Amino acid sequence: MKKIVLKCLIPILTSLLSLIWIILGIKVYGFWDDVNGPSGGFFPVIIGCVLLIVSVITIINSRNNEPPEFSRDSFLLIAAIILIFAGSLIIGLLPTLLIFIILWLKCLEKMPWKTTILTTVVMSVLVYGVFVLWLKVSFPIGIVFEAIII
Amino acid sequence: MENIKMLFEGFEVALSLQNILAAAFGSILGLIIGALPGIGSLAGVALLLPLTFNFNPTTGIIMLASLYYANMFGGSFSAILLNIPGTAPSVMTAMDGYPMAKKGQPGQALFTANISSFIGGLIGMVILVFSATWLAKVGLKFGPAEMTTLMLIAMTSISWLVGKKPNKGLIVTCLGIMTTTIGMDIFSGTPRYNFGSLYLLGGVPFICVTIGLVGFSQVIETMATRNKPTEINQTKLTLKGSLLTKHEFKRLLPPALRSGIIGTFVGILPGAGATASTFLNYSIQKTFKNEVELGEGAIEGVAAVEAANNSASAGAFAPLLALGIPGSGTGALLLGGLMMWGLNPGPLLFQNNPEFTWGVISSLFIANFLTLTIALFSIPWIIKVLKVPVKLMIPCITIICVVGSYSTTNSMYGVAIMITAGIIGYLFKRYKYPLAPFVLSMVLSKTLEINMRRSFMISHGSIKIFFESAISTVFISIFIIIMLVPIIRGIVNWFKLHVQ
Repeated sequence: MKKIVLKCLIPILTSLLSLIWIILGIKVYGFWDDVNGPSGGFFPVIIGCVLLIVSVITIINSRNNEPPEFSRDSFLLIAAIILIFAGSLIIGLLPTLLIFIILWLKCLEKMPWKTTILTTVVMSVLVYGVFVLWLKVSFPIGIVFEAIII
Repeated sequence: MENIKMLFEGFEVALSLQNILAAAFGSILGLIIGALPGIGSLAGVALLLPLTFNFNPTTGIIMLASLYYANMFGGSFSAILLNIPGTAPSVMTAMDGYPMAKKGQPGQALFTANISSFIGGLIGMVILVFSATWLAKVGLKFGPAEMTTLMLIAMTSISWLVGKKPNKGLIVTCLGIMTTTIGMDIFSGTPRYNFGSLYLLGGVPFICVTIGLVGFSQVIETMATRNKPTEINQTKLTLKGSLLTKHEFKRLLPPALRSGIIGTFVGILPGAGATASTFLNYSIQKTFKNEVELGEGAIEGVAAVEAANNSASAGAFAPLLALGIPGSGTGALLLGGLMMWGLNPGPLLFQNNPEFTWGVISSLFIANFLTLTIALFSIPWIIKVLKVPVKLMIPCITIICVVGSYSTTNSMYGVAIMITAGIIGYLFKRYKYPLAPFVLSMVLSKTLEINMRRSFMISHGSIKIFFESAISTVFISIFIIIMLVPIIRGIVNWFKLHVQ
């Protein structure tokens, strides 16, 4: 069962998603109004129906396919970016990114200190110069710095 | 002849020192903004708009128009070198540009992109000069039924052509369309598929999805192979070695010329824009014989796409100036700028403010030359990015993805969308689903929904409306043929297999 789900992961998910779109489209947003014509659910329901049909066909066709292989290293980056997201809420986005690049290059990639510091400085200047100074983007400072400021 | 005379008068306006400097500044900024993923011409023009308040309208719009135009050049740099499209139209550039870079031809890919952009842009501008008002009128003849059928063709063509399994392309197309249905219903203004979230009420930001789906997913994928030496790292990169041979230039020219002409016409269609032009011209290029298969690093693919997006950008100025119809989001911002300066874009603009109108058109020619020169001479510096080890690039690109997606929404919501899209993109890559139809359908689906609903409102639910005009009948016939081809091909293959 687990292997079948892994083989057909995407069409299974899309068929479930299309069902949600169809049901909400008809029940909540409406498909057709006698006075105004097509309602909010009209277009999504049509697309949902197409997706459902194609997903079911793909599930049937994918049964004999081999599931793809996933690299453990790829999940390391996904975990890292989720930690960046969480860290930005606590200590702010820019300090989190600074810690991320140093830890990543030094601890994971075992880069020499010279390369690590040089890359960190170049990236900091680029991000601060372009996004903060030029584009005037105000990045989140996190709950810790917010508490200190207050 | 009247148009040529007006163009030369326009050059007199555009060739003042102040306007040349404005065009040069806009070109440099456009190249940088285009190369940086996640900013895009829309944000660039929006941020630069307040700076132009102190300029006269001609200088202001010349700077913004140059930025918008140069953005199309710049978008190809990161698409080719990093597989991260800096702008939405350069998504298709990455499809052949990045494989070329991987094969050790990054300089040739960039040269092809720049020369093709120049050719495409030049064709677009020449057509713009000769038929500014006439071209826009052709686009205006497209009613809801014509636009619906045109959008259907654009969407299905890419679904069927990308990848060997059309069902996978269709699934991705539907997912892209469904993503754009999240937010507000365009007609009633009521929330739709936002599941109670205030963030989703504003819709799913396109740029964040693109950064995640195309860029971040590539970084996740690269993690597995980051310690392997790549061909690019071993390639010696020089400006001289990046030059195209006579044979390569001959390969570049036909798709660049063809896409330049088609792209201009796509550019003038309201709502179609440069991105749709690249997808359409790439699909067309697939039907021609290419020395290298498209998607495997073909010069023809890069040339077709780059000429298409620059010609479409030039073509989009026709309805913008002559009729006040923006062809894209950036076009809408430029339109806002014109109104801010007290100008009313439309047919009367050519009569009441000819100096301004023709000054802007002629400044595009100047921007085209300036951007080509700057872009070509910046290749030796930009391609040095490739000498950096992949494992050093991974955290750097991750940071650019995070910061770029944050800057487009000014909230962590954009980052969350980017991460989600990145994971989905990674799954698509692993399961061999094409990514391009998702991006295309996100761009086109709003136009499709608006026009489809309008068509059914007009016809009271009858599909006869799509067969009432000659244009829509031709379009719907093409759509049906595109739909039927893979089905018939499947049946024929099944019979062949079972007869044998």
